[in-house]
Amino acid sequence: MNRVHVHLISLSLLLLCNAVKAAAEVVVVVGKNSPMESLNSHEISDIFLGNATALPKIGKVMPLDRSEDRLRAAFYQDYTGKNLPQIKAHWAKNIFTGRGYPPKVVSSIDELRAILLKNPTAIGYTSPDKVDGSMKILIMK
Amino acid sequence: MTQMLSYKVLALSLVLIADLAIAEEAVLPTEEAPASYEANYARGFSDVFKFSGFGTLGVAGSDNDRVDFISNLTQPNGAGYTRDWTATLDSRVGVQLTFLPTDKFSAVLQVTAEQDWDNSWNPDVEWAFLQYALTPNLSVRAGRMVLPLYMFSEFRKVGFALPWVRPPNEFYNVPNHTVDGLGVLYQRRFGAVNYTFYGTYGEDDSRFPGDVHSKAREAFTLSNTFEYKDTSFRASYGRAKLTLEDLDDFFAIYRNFGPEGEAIYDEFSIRDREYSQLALGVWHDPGKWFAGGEWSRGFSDSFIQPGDSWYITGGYRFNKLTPYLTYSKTRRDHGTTPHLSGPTLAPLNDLLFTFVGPIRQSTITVGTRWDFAENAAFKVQLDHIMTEENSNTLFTNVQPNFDEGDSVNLLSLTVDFVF
Repeated sequence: MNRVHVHLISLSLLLLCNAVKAAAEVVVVVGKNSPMESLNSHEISDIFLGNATALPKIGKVMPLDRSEDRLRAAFYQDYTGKNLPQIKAHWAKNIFTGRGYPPKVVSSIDELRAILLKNPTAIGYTSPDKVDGSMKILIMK
Repeated sequence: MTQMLSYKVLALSLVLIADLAIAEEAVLPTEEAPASYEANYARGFSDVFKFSGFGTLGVAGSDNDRVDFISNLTQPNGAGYTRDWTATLDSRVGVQLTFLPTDKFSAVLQVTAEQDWDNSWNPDVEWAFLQYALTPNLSVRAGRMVLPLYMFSEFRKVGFALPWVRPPNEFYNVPNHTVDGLGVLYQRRFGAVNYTFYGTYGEDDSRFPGDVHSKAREAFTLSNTFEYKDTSFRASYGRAKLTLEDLDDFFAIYRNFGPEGEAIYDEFSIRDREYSQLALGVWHDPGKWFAGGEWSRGFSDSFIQPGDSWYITGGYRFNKLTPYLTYSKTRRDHGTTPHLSGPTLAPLNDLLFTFVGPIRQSTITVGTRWDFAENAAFKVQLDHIMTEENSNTLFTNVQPNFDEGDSVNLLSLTVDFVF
């Protein structure tokens, strides 16, 4: 009986750890009508850094950036491994070598919601508490 | 008591498992996906026309008044001999207009103004090309492009995108840096590796101090970049046929001195002579710090010295401060070269040496970048430049009283900005 307890407790701890890890500060979201369900971290990073403009089976996608610095910093750190000065330098490099422009910036969660609803191929990000029925969270593969 | 705890733990576990199961289920698409999902937003004016710019305001001072330090071969003078302190080394401004009428088509025009070969600040066209995306991975370009010779070549003038005040001088001093012609850009992800190919083909006419014209013909560059996580590897190859008529005329003078003179002309002529180079680079940037380096080897059929150049650099990010350290070195040497015999002709040999003698120089650079604003950075940098005996240098306006083997200290202060 004691051994079972220990097993259960360790299992629970393992699951808790996973759940804490999964409870990210920032989640990647699409509109509720979007055909997108999941992406891997390379895809997210490629789309937001301009290395890719399209996804297989989906076609051209529209990344949406945010104006809030703390949210941006957390998103880029978690999903691309880069800090904001690196992101700035990345775009300075890309813009002035003709390789592209940074994603369109939305200034509020309402604006994000509106664009996601209208564009099934738009991808944005937000803190988990701002997610509502008009959006769905993309599963990270 | 323990029984209750067990139940609670079990219940919690089940809830968590259920959560995960729901999350798993959500991966499956709930309905059949339509054939195409073109983003149905209208392109506004600001999506079609983009206006951007960059610039640097800088001053630099040298402690050696017998040579001028210059930051590229186009500059007729710099810090040291002409002036102790100068704002002309690094100061520049660039503006860019990008036209994006459709997802597939774009046009880029970038104009920069900086100290030119004739001391003017006349604007130069740095980039002017039309680009068409044949597929999401493959694009073709036509127009003027900056040669993708090295890791930082294409944006070497955008100080804000560089960790240093300027790219390492021993490595980045290239005569012709743009080309008018065609380009192919291919990008593809292979699992964890992001691969980019960029090739250019075309020709170029550039002017240098003293109204020296440099023509590059049949110039092509192939560059390959592999990015894996925080590390990128780069390999490139470039080749061009170069003509510098004014210099060729100078070497032709030696033809008046018999077979030895003919041999000199044959060896150093720069009329339709090939120059090629191989370059390798590696860069690692996990965010908190960066380190990298590049190496190149040049092969020459003309007076331009063949040889190796390299640098290594690294920096650490303390919040908004990024101090860095660089060591760069170049050794370019023809080896044994033809010369005129006879003591009376020694001045002609000396003159020849100033053009074709070996170039050996190295620099230790220490500096820091301060990201004091969203779109601007301040940098302070000290370069300790070491020359060698029986060697030429990358300085200009070298005075007779400059001793080979002397060193030069250069202090640079810049503000880089983008808009």
